[in-house]
Amino acid sequence: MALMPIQAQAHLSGVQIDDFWLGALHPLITLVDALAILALGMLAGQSGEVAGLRVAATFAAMMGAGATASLYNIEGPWVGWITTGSLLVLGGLVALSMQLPLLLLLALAMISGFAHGMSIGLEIEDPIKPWQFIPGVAVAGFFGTFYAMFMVVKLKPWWTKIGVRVIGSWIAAVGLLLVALDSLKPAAV
Amino acid sequence: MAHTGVGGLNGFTSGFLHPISGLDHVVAMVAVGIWGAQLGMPAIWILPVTFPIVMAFGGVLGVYGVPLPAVEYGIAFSGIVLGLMVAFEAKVPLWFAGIVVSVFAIFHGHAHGAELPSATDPISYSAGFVLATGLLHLCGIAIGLLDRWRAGAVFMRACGALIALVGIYYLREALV
Repeated sequence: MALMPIQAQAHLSGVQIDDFWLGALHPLITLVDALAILALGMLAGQSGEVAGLRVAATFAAMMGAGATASLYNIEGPWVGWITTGSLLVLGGLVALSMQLPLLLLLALAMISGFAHGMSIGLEIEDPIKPWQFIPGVAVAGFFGTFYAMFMVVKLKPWWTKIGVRVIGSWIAAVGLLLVALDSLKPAAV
Repeated sequence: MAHTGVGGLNGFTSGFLHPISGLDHVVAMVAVGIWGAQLGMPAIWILPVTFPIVMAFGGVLGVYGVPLPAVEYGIAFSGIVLGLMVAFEAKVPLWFAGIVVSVFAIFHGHAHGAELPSATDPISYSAGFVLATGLLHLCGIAIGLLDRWRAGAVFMRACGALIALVGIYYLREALV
């Protein structure tokens, strides 16, 4: 066997698993995406249940759109900036417990969803089937955001509201560090 | 510079262990939680919300390699000052407590952030040490809940004195 080595594959290719499930898992086990989903969900929850449903749906749709756009080589360094910056912005807004207008929430969901979807889509390699993988990503984005929103809406004890803000500050802190780290990376040629 | 003694700057575990494996970090983070509990609302949650953000600013300085003079002294002094605040149950205005905590947060953040570019998984590393810091604050707040009992209040002040002594120890080590 040592004389017949095979090429090691990246974690998203050659995996014998249903591609839809793989797509659904990816944003939930990738920390930068999972934190963004959590932060957006908490932010939407702070603004109420009705706003939350629309935000979750918008975010999911834009994740799908972003992942699809990546298949057509629509990308740029801004993707990384927005994915890490989204943690700073969304986490900070949660920490401030800002009840934002619906339009602004939807705009944040659109921008962050598209960027995160694109960053995930850029990792799609053969033999992953994009038309199975991308819907999985969108579904995970919706359920993750919706669940976080729902938990925040249903929290009753006063200290849980504070706990949400504390978690938001943690996410913002991680985002700030990552933005700083991204700024040190050499620009892509 | 790196005082954790943990080999391999990679992943969540390394980041999580970074504040925990340094007693100078641990006592200061716990002191923030206890002091916030002593000050009551809204300090009990404002301080733990403010600290990670300001710590991240300090971390950014570390990431950029901006030299912060006497980081180890600053960290040692954080234990001394915050410990004394707890020991004397210093009832200060919220803005003053915020400034004190923020100044020391920058030193602690710089110590963590300086090692971030070396981490093979900086995202997980960042999340790890931010989470560990937050949990240490929560430990301090949990200790602060003892304030409702007289013996508990005495215990908290004794913790503050102990924290200050630890800070003095680290200051001595830094001076040597």
